[in-house]
Amino acid sequence: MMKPRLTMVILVAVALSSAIALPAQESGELYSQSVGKAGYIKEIILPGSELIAKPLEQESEMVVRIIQAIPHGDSFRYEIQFHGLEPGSHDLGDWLERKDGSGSNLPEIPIEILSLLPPGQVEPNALETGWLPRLGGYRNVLIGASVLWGLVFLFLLFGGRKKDEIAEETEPQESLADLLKTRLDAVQNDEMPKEQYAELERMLLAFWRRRLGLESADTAEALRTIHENPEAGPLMKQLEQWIHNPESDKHINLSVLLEPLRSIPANEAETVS
Amino acid sequence: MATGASDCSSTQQAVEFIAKIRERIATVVVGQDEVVERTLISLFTGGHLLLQGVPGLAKTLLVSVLSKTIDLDFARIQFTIDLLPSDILGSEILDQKTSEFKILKGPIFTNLLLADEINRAAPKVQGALLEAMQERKITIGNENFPLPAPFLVIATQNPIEQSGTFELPEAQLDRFMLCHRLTYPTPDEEKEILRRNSALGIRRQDKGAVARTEFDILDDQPVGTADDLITCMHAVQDVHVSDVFMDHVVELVNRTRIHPALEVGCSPRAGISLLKSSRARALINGRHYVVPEDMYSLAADVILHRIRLNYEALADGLTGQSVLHSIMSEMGLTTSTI
Repeated sequence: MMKPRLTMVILVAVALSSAIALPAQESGELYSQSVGKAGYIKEIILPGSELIAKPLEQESEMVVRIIQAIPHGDSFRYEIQFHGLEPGSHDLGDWLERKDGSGSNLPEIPIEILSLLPPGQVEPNALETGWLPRLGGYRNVLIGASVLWGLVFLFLLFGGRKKDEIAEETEPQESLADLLKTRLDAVQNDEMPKEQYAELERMLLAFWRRRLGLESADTAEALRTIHENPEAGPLMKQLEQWIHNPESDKHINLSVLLEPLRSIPANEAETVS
Repeated sequence: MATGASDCSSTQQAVEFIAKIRERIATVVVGQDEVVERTLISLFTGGHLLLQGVPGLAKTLLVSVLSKTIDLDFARIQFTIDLLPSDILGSEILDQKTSEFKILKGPIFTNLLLADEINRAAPKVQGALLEAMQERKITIGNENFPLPAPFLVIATQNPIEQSGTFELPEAQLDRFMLCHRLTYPTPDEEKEILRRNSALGIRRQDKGAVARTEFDILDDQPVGTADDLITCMHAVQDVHVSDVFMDHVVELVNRTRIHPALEVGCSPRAGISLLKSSRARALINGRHYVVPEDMYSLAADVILHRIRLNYEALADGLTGQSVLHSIMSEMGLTTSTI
């Protein structure tokens, strides 16, 4: 049998503990939490039909989630989680609405969101909205860059080629026959500047390489073959002596030496045998 | 320009000396006329030579016979990964008797140095040799030592075994006046090599005998001295170079700089090398003036190791050889680029 004094102590303790566990609206408790931290309201009974959290908006000051809603007579008993994003006093009812869409007419559920910053904290300036509709405008920049790249690519693909074609049409390359004829005429008229002798010698080498079918041969090997050729050899050797040997007979008339080449038709000079 | 009678006689002497050298080399080395010619060009102009070829093409034999033919000091260094610069240049050692440091000169103090497989050594060693080649003097401790004159380096590279090698960078390759790529002998030459080798026989040594090699039949009696070599070097300086020839050289070098397939063209040193080596080739061929054939013959050896193809050309499967061929073929088909 329990002693009466002990029984009294137990009853007082039970009474005290049930008083602490009373719901908020009954106790009038003010829920508080610091900015960004999750706060919980448990066992709160709110009248009327079931409540749900309002859809989250871009600049919402509070994020609310209904964890549990249990029917409680003609009311509901809720477990609610909230994250306050702005310090100050708020009414949680502002972020709740009826599931069936009827008017909310809820009692005030006061919440205090505490700032951890000391008073007088300097706030950073608000970001200015740029000319792009969204901060950074990354997607727009990406689209713009893609379009630009596409345009440049198309220009490179077609614009450059057209230019080349035009250039090719307007400035046809001089053929070897033309080049050689110009130099031979200059020799004939004794108008060849000394600087062009090297060019003439190279052109004659190219001419004989084509004529004798030595285009794919090694240049030194081709030159040796040309020197051994009965038609080209004497002419090229004499020319070489005249140009490079300081002791050669400088009275040789170059125009006479090159005269046989002047009589070769242009198309023959271009022909690869 | 060889105008005076003394110049003519020195040219004549040089030509006779060259003929004797070639004759002596031909007693031991079969064929390889081009390599012999390039070696003589290097010797007469003082430009170093890089030989690229697979083992067994008589590179070492050729250099050995050349040194004995002209009575020059000869040394050979086999380059390996663990070689140190001091193994080539020399070092300071402590003489325990006198307690003083003595200079021990390395094998670089010679007239003719064969640097076998130069790309096997670490870049530090390559750098030490190439610096000595450029400056013709070396430093050991705090003392400078000039290298003997003439000083010629003939280096070899094996183009097929590339693992464990350190490729010479362009700047160092540029120090070699010529880079010659050796080819296999012709079938006739190869038959002659086999014939000579089978007739070598054996040599008695101590109580036994060993098979004789080509090195054993080298005649130690030189056909000329360093003075003859100097005569040849003088004669090279007397070879006439026309303005037109210089135009050809400048045109060729310039075209390597503007060719679309080339990332790096030739430096002015390439032009100088082309001119110097063409003069020596003219002398070797008995001429006292250069002709375009000299330039075209030497172009590959002077230019190919100095140019670098760009990525597009490599992707198209082009080679330095094919690009140079196209450059030389196009030279007469268009107007001058200079």
